[in-house]
Amino acid sequence: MPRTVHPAAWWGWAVGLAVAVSTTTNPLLLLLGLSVAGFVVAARRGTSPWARAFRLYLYLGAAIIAVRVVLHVLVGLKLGTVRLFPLPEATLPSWAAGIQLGGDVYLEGLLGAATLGLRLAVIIACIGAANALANPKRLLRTLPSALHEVGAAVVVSVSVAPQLAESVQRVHRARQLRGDTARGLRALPSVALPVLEDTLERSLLLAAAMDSRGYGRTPAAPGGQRVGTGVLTLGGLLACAVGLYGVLDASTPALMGTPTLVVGLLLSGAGLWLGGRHVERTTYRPDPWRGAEWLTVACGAAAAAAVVVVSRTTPDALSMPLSPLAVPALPLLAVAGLLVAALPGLLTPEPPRPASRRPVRGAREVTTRG
Amino acid sequence: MRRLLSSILGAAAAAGLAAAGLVAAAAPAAAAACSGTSGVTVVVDTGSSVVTACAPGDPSSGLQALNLAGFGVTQVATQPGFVCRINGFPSSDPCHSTPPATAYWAYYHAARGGSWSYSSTGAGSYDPQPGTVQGWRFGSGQQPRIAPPAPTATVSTPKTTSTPRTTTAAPKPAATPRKTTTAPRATTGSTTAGTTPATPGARPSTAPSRSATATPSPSASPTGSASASPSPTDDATPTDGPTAVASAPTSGDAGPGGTPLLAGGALIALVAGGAGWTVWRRRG
Repeated sequence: MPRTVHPAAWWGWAVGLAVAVSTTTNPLLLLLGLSVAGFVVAARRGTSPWARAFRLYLYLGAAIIAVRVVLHVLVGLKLGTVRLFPLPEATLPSWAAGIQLGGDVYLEGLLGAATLGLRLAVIIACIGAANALANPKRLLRTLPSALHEVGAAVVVSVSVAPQLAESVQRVHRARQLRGDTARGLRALPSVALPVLEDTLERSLLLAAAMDSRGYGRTPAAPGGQRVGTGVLTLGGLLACAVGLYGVLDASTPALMGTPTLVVGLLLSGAGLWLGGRHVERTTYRPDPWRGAEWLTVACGAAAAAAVVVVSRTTPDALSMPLSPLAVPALPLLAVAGLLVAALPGLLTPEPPRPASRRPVRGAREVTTRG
Repeated sequence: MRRLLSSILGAAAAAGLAAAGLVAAAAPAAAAACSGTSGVTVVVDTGSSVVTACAPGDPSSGLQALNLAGFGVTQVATQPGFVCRINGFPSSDPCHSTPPATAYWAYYHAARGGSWSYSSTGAGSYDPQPGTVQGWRFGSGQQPRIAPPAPTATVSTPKTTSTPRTTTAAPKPAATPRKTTTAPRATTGSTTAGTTPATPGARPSTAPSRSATATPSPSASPTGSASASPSPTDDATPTDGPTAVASAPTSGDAGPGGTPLLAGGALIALVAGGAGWTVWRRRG
């Protein structure tokens, strides 16, 4: 039975995979993680516009690696013993931070830069996989009900760009059918006005639909409770920020770290719960959370746990050995964890195929033929 | 005082033995401050012991100076160029990720007899001038506990190579008030840890020019390396720093040959091929 897996499950899986690859610079593990992400995306993505964006994240990753390598050759720290090619060297004066330009390029330094770039690229590919697999609109529907109005606004703004592109395409097709072949800037007035009108019509339609479903209806909450909600939420968020700072900075007192973070999370949770009590809203066809979702999240967590265990026991196996240069190791536990992360591509239900795609494709064939 | 002298003698003997063992003419380590304006003096302070050595010639970077002075350097595996261990210290750090800000090797440089200044560039990109001092201190960024060694008024000419006690006991600055010639305190003086107050005196302006002829060849043959270790241990303890170097702990238990490479490559190809096949199947 084809159905879409809960978007939060895909995000959990992707974050687990990203944690796994972020602790290693071993190129074998990084490439394995990348191919696992690619496999799951290929097997389980839908047909929405953002589902096809995974390729863009791969391009972005390739650009990151290229920039990292070029920067290493230009200004990087040249270390190593295996000299690849000589370059002239210039040292900037001390008022320009004494940066060293150029210099002989060594294999070790180049490989180190490439693996660091590859790590960032694979992390970005994991986030891209989550974006391709999880429908952001459906994800926003799972927000707590106190944030429901913010979520609705974000959904509307997120869907503006694809709708605009689709609208432009429709107007363009209609103009072609009528024999109007103006291109470039001259076509702008004849395209912009219908698109604008289309947008206005659409937003009026959306507003009417939301209105009829009870959006924007604010039931009366007592004033004291509203103030309490605001104080709880704001204080909780502040405490969260301070706690995160304390967790990340080792030199702050211990009380500022995890305890403050936990208190902040509790406070914000209480504020959200209090604020959401008065929002009476139902979800249209809610996404279920069943075994497939648990499996997806568990696979991502297993990958992260396996690599973290390896980093505790044999940390050397997770890094690219550069001094001296050697073949990277292949830690079996980490490989097994990454392979487990590929299981959602096989075991979760397939996404449904929208029936509306075929007529559109047929219509396009007619227009191109005619 | 006698302990210091015996320490120096012991160090000289040990280093002399080591130098005899290493017949290679390039004398990798002179276990003291450099003589004159040639070479870069390297001071390594682990927090419990201080070792001073000389990197002969003109090292192109701070890391190379460490190597030439005979110290073994282990870098952080995920941050190439980041010094993690010097001579295997600290052995508790796995050197997988960047050390914490409370336990790392701080990098200083200074003029001979000057005062330490924290390096604003990394050791891999800083090019030390010959005749200067570099300091490494393990901890949370403090400066080395001894002042930069003063410029030595070398009596030795480059010809007298192998006599172990040619240079004066330079690396102990300002601690022996009997030394009249050296007055290393350049203006600001007063380093934090452990040094005795500055001894007033005339700066020997002629010394650097006189010893400018000193060649990087093994002229400054090993004398002692003064140690400021608090515990009155045996003589030769701190001196083996510059010699017992070459065994930098190698990382990676990579299997022999390229089997992990082959297996990993096959695995990656398998999964990526699966992805490609899935794309093709779903499109068709």
